[in-house]
Amino acid sequence: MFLRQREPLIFERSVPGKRGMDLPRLDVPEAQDTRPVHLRRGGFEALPELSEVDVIRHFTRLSKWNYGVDDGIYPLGSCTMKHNPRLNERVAGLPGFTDTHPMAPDALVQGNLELVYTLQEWLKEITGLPGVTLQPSAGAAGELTGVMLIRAYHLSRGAKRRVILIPDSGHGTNPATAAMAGYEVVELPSQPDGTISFKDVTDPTSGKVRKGLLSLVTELGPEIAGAMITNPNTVGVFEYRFKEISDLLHSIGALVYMDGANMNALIGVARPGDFGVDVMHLNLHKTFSTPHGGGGPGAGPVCCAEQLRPFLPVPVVVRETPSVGAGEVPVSTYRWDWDRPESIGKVHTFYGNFGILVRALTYCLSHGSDGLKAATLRAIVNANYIRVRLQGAYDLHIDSPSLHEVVFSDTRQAKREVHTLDIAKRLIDHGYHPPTIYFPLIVPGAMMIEPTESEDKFELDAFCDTMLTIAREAEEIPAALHHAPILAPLRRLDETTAARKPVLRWQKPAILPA
Amino acid sequence: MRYLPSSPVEDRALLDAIGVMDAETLLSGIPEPLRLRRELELPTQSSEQEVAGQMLAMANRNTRFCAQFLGAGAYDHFVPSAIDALISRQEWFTAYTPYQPEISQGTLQHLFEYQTLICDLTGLEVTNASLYDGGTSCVEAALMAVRVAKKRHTVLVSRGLHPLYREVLQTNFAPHAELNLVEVDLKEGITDLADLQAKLSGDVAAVLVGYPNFLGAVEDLAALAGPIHAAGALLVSVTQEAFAFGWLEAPGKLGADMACGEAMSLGNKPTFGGPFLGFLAGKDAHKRELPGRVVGQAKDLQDRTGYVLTLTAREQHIRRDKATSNICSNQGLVTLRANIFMQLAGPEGLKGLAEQNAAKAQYLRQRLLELPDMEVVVDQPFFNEFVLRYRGDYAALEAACLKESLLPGLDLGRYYPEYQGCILWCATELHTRSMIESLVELLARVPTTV
Amino acid sequence: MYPADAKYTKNHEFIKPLGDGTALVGITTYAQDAMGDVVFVDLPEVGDSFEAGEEFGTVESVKTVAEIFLPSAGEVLELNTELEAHPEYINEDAFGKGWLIKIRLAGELNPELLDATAYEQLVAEESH
Repeated sequence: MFLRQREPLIFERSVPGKRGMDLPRLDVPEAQDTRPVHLRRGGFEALPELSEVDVIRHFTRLSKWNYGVDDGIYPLGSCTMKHNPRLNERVAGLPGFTDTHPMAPDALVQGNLELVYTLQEWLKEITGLPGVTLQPSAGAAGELTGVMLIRAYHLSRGAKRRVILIPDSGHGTNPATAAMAGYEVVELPSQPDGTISFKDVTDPTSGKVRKGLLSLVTELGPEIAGAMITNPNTVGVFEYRFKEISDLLHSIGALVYMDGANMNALIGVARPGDFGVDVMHLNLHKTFSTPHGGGGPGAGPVCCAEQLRPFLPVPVVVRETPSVGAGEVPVSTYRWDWDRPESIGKVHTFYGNFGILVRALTYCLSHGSDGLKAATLRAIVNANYIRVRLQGAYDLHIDSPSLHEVVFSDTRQAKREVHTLDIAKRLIDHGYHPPTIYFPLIVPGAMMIEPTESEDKFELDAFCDTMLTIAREAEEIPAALHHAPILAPLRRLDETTAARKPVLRWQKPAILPA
Repeated sequence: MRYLPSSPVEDRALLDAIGVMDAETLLSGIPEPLRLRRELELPTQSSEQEVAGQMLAMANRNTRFCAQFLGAGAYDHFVPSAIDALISRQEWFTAYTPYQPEISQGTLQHLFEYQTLICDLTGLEVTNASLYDGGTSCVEAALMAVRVAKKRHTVLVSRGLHPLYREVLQTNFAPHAELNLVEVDLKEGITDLADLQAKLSGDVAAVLVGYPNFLGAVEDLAALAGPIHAAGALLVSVTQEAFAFGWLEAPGKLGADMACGEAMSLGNKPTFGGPFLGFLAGKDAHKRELPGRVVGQAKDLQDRTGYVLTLTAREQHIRRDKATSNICSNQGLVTLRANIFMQLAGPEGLKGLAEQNAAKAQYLRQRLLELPDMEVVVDQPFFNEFVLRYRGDYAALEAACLKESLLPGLDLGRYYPEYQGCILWCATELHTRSMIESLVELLARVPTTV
Repeated sequence: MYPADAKYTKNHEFIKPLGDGTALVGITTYAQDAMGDVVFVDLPEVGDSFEAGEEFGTVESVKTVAEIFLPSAGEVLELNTELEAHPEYINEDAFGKGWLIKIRLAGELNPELLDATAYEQLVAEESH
C-alpha cells in the first residue's frame, strides 16, 4: 500500500467518446419506443467515459490506499479480522451457486437448500439452540430479527411488554435495534470488573445512583420483554453470572437475547443454549471468516430456543427423507416451507446473503469440530499474549481475565497529553491498522485489541514491539505524536468541517459565463 | 489446521510467556457448569481438496439452465471480467469498514464515487453507502419519510411494488403501533390514481411506487407526483431493476423526493437472492435523516482532499436508541462491483444495454403473443419485463421448459390472485434470438389443457 | 463567567428573559465545551409549544448528540436560522450569536431554575 500520493476522482479522467464496454450485436429488431417523451432517459451528469484500462488502473491504484488482512495484523477489537481463506472465495464463485435464481422451483435448487440446511445444522450444534434462520443480512439485521421474535413470543401470550434491558457496555446497535422493534431501552450499569451489576451503582464523581439488575427487575417486572447481552462482553470478559441473570429474567417471564459478536471466543468451549440464552445472532463475517469487503456484505444468522421457533422468518428450509428398505440409502430432498402462520414474516427480500453462507459453510467444513475449537483457544492465547506483553506499558482499566480480546486505556499516556487517537494514528505510521478505539464507552480512552487466531508469534511480537515503541515515544516526544500519521498518503482529516458542510458527491464544475 | 499458526514449540512459548500451563487455564473466567465438556458433534477438519470437492458436488446439485426468463427482482446480466479480477484484490475484499480514514482512502474514495453515480442514476442529491437489498431499502425509505414528514404516521404502498418488498415492509412496521402501512390498488397494471387520491390524507408521510413496477409496467411518476405533493406527502420511487435507469428518466427529475430499491443488476449474478445491493437516495434537505454509512469529502492538515465517514451523529454508535437506523454495515463489496460496472459502462454503455434489454423483451413479447394461448393482460409501457395471460396450464408449461433447461417466467397468481393464470416474463441482453425462438417453439408444442 | 441575567438548568441550558414576556434559550459555554465542535442543530418549528423540561431539539457535534430541553414552558417565536450556515457560533459565542430559539413564556419563569452562582457551583462540581 501507499504507493501513490494521489489518484484523482474518476470523473476528472472522463474523456468523451471513450468506451469501457462493447455491446453485443443486437440480433432482434430495435426497441420501439411508445412511451411518453418525459419518461425517456435524459442525460447523465457524472457517469464517466473511460476505457477498461482506465478503470482497472483506477481501482488498482485506489486499492493501494487500503489496508487488508493480508497486509498484516488487523487488530480491530470486536470486528474479528481473521484470515479469509481463498477456498471460500473460489467456492462462492462457482456458477452452480451464482447462477441460481431465488424464485426457481425448489426441485431445481436442491444444492442451495442442502447448503442452507447443513449450515443451520452446524450453527445449531455450535450454539446449542434448535431454531435457526439465515435470512438476516448482517449482525444488526440479526438483532432486529431476534428482538422481533421476542416481541412475537410475548404477543402470542397476550402480553405487551415495553422494555428491553441493555448493559452500558453494549454495542450501539443493541439500543438502536430495540427502538426499531418498538421497545423502550433501559440501561443496565456495569460494575468495576466490566460485567453487569446486580446491585445499584453510585457514580463516584456525580453521586448519581444507577439502578442495577435486581432493582430494575423488581421495579419493571412484567414490563420487561427481555435483555440484550453481549457475551463475552465488549471488554472480552465472560459474564460469569450469565446463568443467574437468565434465570432471574426467566422467572419474570422475560427472555434473554445474546449478542453473538464475540462468539469466536466460545465455539467448542461453551454453548449459549446451555446457559439460558433464548435467542442470539452470529456474525458470519466475524466468527466464520467471511470477508468484510470494506463494510459488507455480512450475514447475521439468528439461533433460537424451541419456544421461539414458530416465529422464525419465512420461509424455513425443511428436509424430507423417505423411508427405504433395508440396505438402501435414502436420498433426502429439501424444500422451503412458507406455511408458517405464526412467523414474523420476511426480513430480507429473498433468503439473505447466500454467497456469504457458502463461504461460512466452507469455513466450517474446513475446520471441523476440532479445528473450530482450536481456533477459539488460539484466539484466546493470542489476546492474552498481547495483554502480557503490553500491560507494563499501557493501563488495563479492567483487570478481569479476558478471553479473545484485550482492552487498554490511555490513562498513563494521557498524563503526557498523548491520547488514544494519537496512538492509533501513530500505528498507521508504523504500517499497522489501529485497534478499535473509544469503545467500549465504559473504558476511558479505550483501545480494544483483538488479534484473532490467525496471527503467529512473529506477527504478534512485531505488533507488540511497535506498541511498546509508541509507548516510549509518548514519554519522550509526546507532542510529536499529535501530528501522526505523517507517512500515510494523507494527514489527519478535518471531520468537523466535513460534517458542518457535507459534500457527499462530485458535481460537474459550473461553467463560468465568459 | 492450515489456517491456524499453531505448532507445539510456538504454542509452548506463548503459554510460557503468559505464565499458564495450557490454554484451558485461560478459560477460568467461564464458570465450570457453563462449560461444554464434550466435543462438538460435527465432522472433524478436512483438507482443501476434500472441501472443494464437497462444495462443488453441492453446487452441481442445482439445475443449470440454458436461459432464464425469470426476473422478478433478481436479474441475470452479463458481468464484465474486470469486476471479479478487481474485487479479488485483498485490499478490497478483506478490508474493514473505513473507520480510520488515513488508512482507508481506497474504500472511501470508491464510496464517494459510488454515491455520486447513484445520485446520477436517480437524479437526486444525496445517498448513502448502500443498504442490504431492495426490500430493506423500502423499510428504510418509509421510516426516513416518517422522520422527514414529522407528525405523519401513514405510508401508502402501491400494490405494484414487489410483493416480497411489501412483506418485508409489513414485518418491520408490525412493531410500530403508531404507524400505518396501507396498500393502494392497481388498475390496468399500474397504481390506481382514484384509489390513491382516496387514501391520501394529512397523515400520509409517503407513497411508495414501483418504477417500473413488479408487473414490468412503467408508472408515470410525474402524474403521481402532483396529487401526492398536494397532500404534503413524499413520493418514493422504488426500482428493482437498476438497468431501467438507462431507459427511464431519473425519478428525481419526475418529482420523486426519494428513490430506493435494488441495484444487484450492476455487476452481480442472481446468487440465489444475495448478496444484493439496496440503495436509497433523496434530497439534500433530508440528508441528516439518511440511515447508514455516508461518505463525505474532507481536507487534511495540509489542505489535501480526502474522504471520511460523515454525518455520524445519526448513527447508532453515537445516538444509540435515537439513531436513524440500526444498520452499521453496508454492502461494501457489492457497491464496488456496481461502481466498477457503472464506470465500465459509462453513459453510452448503460443506455445501450438498456435499449438492448427493451428490444429483447419487446421481441420476446411479440413472439409469445403469436402463440394462440398467450394474450395481452397489461397494456402499459414496459422495460424488460411484462405480463401475459396464459390460457394453458402453467405446471405443464413449466415442466416442458425445465426439460429443455429453460427457466420460464413467474406464475403471477402466486402473488396476485387477480392475475391468476398470468406469467411475468423477463428478457435481458443475455437472451439471444435463438434462445427466444427455442422457448417459443417449445411453448407451441405444449398442449393446452384448460 | 455565567451571565447573571440568565437562569440555568442542570442539563446546561440557559434561558435569558428579555423583559417583554419573551426569552432566549441556548446551551451554556460549559455544555458546548464538553461537546466539542458543533456541526448541526435540529430545532422545532415556530409555533410549537413545549412544557418545562420537554425536549425541543438536538445539538450535534462530530462525536456526540445532545438532546436539549426547554428550561421554562413556552411557545416558539423565532429560530436562530444563522446556525444553519454557522453552527460554530455555538462554540464561539454560546450566550450571544449562538442562541437557539426565542420563546414566549407561558406564565411565570420555572422556579426550579438555577441562578448564575448556583450554576457555576454545579459546573465546578461536575468538572472534577
